[in-house]
Amino acid sequence: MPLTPAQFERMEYLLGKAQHTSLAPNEQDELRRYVVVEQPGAEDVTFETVVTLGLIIVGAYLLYKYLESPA
Amino acid sequence: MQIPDQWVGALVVGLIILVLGQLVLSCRAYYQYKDDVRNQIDGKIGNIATSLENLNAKIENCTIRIENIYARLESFENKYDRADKELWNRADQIERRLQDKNSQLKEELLTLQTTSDLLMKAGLAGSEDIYKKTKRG
Repeated sequence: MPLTPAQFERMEYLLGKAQHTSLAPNEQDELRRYVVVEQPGAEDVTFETVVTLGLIIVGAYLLYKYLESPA
Repeated sequence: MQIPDQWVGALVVGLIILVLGQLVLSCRAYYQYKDDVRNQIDGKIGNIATSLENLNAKIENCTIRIENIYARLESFENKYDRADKELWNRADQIERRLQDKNSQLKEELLTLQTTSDLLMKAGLAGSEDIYKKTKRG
């Protein structure tokens, strides 16, 4: 089941926060859950990898939105 | 008493005949013994000749077997050489294929790395925007 827009925005927020400060353990788990929904293989990887994967997913989504917007 | 001359003559003749008879018998026995010995020797020579023939036949068989073994060995060596060459050719082919695949994989990895870097930068910008907006809000 894909992420809802609210979940996606929450994931973007957590990723942004992770760049400025360290996330609390429950926030880390939450971010991991969101990333695992899009990429099931990320369940056992390190948190740094989760952040990288999350950023790639968000980047791809933004790029897709950008390409779709003129149409 | 005087022995008559006829008796003496007869006795001498008798003795001579006896000696001659003994001589004849001795000669006969000698020749018979000689024939026996010759027959025995002939028999033994015949046996030795038969044995030699058998031995020759066996040697001939051995020679044929050795020739067969040499032929098989030569055939095996040829097969071994062919298999060796084929194996090296295949190893070379596999090495070339692996090198090609490796180059292809490196190119694909580079492309993937570049794409993921770009996506990550876009994601970072987007996430920072959302974070800052939410923080301000």
